[in-house]
Amino acid sequence: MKEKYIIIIGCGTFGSTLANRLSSAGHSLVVIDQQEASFKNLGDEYSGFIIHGDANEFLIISQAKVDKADIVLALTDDDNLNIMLSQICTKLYNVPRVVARVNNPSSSSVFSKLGIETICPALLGCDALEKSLDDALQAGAGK
Amino acid sequence: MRIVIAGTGITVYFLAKRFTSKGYSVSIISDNLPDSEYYTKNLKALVINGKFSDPELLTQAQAHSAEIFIGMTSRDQDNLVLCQMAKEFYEIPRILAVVNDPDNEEVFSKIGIRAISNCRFLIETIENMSDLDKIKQQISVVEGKVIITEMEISADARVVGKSLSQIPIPMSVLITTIVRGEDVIIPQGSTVIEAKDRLLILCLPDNQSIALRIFA
Repeated sequence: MKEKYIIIIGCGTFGSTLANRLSSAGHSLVVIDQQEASFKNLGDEYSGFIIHGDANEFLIISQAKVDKADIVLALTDDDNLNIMLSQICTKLYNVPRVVARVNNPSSSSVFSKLGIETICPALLGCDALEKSLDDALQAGAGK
Repeated sequence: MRIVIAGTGITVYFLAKRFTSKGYSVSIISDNLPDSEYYTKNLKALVINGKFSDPELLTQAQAHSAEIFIGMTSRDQDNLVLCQMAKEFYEIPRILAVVNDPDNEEVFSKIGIRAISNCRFLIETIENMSDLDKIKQQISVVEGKVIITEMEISADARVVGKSLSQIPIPMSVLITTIVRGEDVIIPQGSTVIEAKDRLLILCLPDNQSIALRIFA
């Protein structure tokens, strides 16, 4: 497996867990977050860089050498910010793979209209839970 | 004709007031409740209060029948998404984002949304204040990458009586037009500068001070 340069924007539980995993797997990482305290979520296994700043500010994004990135993941809790960052990375920096987090499932129509690849933790969670409850739900139907 | 404005604050109020008095139908989308109430009370406008991330707001604001959309919230990510929704979902023909981060002027235009920055305009004005007396008018074009300056030549300027070819003007500064009284002259190298000539100078922002130094 070839080592990739990955930028993760948003170092909450989701962003930091993924950053720890990808860093352990040997990839080069940069994590951006506007709250310094968020970087505490990164474990000892994380060996990448951190940038403390508001990703809304264009300068912060350009500091992360986005033009060199193989993958950018916009995982903040702000859907509109994720949409904006995705488009900056795709259209201005030609990043080959960009994925944005959708927090509110109802805004996914905006993402898809703009051709942004997305992941929606809420929907994935629902799907997984529904599937694991399948037996219980079926059994319940007989009562 | 309907204009939809997304944003809060007093600038939105004055903007909407001007447009309504000119006879436009105005919709305002605001995420600030006190501001929304103030708009409703003091303006003849359709005021919608809600979160900017809610796609339904544009429908309520009658975006389907609007001809102009202005995104001027305090968050550029909201401005971008609202403008893109106005463009893609509601097919509003004229769209303008008023961005907060001056860098986003260029970013937005590359993404396909026309944008202007109040901040950049202020920076330019403040930086040029010392030269303001000499400048009669100044227009920024191409997202601020090019400036057209109108300045008047004073009687004691060094360039009076010299032809353009005698004046060392850098390549990046272009004298496009000379207004002399009622006459409009497209200058050549042989054109001689006279006192009270008004020059229209095309240049890059960084070279404006050079142009001013030569002709002031």
